[in-house]
Amino acid sequence: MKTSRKQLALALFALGLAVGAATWLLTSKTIWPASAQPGGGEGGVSAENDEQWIDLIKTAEKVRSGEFATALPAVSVPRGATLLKSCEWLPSVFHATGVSNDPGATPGTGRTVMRVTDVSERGDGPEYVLVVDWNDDLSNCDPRVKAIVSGGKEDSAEIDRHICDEMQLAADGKELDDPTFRKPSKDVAEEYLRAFC
Amino acid sequence: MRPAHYWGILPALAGMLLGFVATGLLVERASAWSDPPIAFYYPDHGWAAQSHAEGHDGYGPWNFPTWYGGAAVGNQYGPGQDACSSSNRYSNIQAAGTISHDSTLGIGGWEWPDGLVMSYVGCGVSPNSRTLITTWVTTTQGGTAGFTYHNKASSSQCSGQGISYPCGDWSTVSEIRISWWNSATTSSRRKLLLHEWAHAWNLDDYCGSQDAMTKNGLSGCTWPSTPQYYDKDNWAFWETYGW
Repeated sequence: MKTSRKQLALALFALGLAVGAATWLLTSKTIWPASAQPGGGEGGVSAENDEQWIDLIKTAEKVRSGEFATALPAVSVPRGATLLKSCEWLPSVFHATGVSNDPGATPGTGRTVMRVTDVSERGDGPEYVLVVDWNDDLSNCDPRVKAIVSGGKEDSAEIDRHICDEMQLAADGKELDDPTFRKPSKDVAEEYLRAFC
Repeated sequence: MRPAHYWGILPALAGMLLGFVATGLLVERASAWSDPPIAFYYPDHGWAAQSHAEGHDGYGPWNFPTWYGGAAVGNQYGPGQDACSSSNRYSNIQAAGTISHDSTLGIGGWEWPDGLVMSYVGCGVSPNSRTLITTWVTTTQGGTAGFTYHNKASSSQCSGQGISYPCGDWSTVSEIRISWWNSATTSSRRKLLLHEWAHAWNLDDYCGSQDAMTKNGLSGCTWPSTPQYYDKDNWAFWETYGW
């Protein structure tokens, strides 16, 4: 049984490699370290670096104009678990695992997804998946849920500020402090600052 | 030594393609064995788990995942303290990393020669670090002795890597409650680190009949006596990141 799955997996992997290699050859764009990329971590700027930044700015414009909805990927709900969209329905004694803070398509938006186990009787009670939008009212939530969601929002906001700082450096024609970031052109950095900072 | 860029494409493809296959297996096997599942594979998490490795050293083979341990500097993740301010934190985080590497129970015959490799990158990681962060706090966000959460990359962080949003995890933060740590035995400290890091690797709590570091440590689901990853844990790592 294992062998047949492995064969299937290997076939998929080979297919993926072929598709990936073709894509790579066509676009010369993949995910290796910024320091290994032209214009990546060494202070250079290329049109390639600007592509994703421009896409992001355009997406944000469409979201703000209402043309796009800010759809996040669907939440994974394990078999047997119950999806909760309000923290009012959480069990009274729970153990939180698998917490994920998911920033949205535009800065300042997002959600927190919590995997929760009811431990009111023993260590492995029913499981729940709680989804809290960062704009939801948390007043009726357990203090731990409030802390988790607030923490996610604050971390995300700090990241956003960090990126704005880097963009300011790029807009000023200076080197970035963060070598892992693809440096945008001056024009794109200025556009980003106007859109998000 | 292969050039860094050679390996770049492999983890992403392996994670995206093979990880999806693993999802079904986990559920199917759990059902067939009447044993709780231990791991739930999130394709967008799994991709990033492997990208952590290639993102830092550029050559993590896809079937031999690595993940870097770091420690947050104070106040960057709430009231967290790093591992460098205390010798017992530093020694135990290093020891737990070694245990992770040496935990080979049940992996005989696999392509993995060792357990999971974690490489300690030291203190002072910034909030923007794309890594696993371990931080000591007065109160964990979950209220338990240890608590781990994932921070997915924002749209700007994905763009900063030249890839499309959504693009998986950026950082994973394991919080350790200081009061618990200070009163715990060395063995328990290492168990907690291994347990929380397993969450960082996307493993779930497991309360079945077998020994596992992924038991949640609560009543009815207590940890085994020795701090190490067991067959059950390694099986889940393999199903999620191997093949």
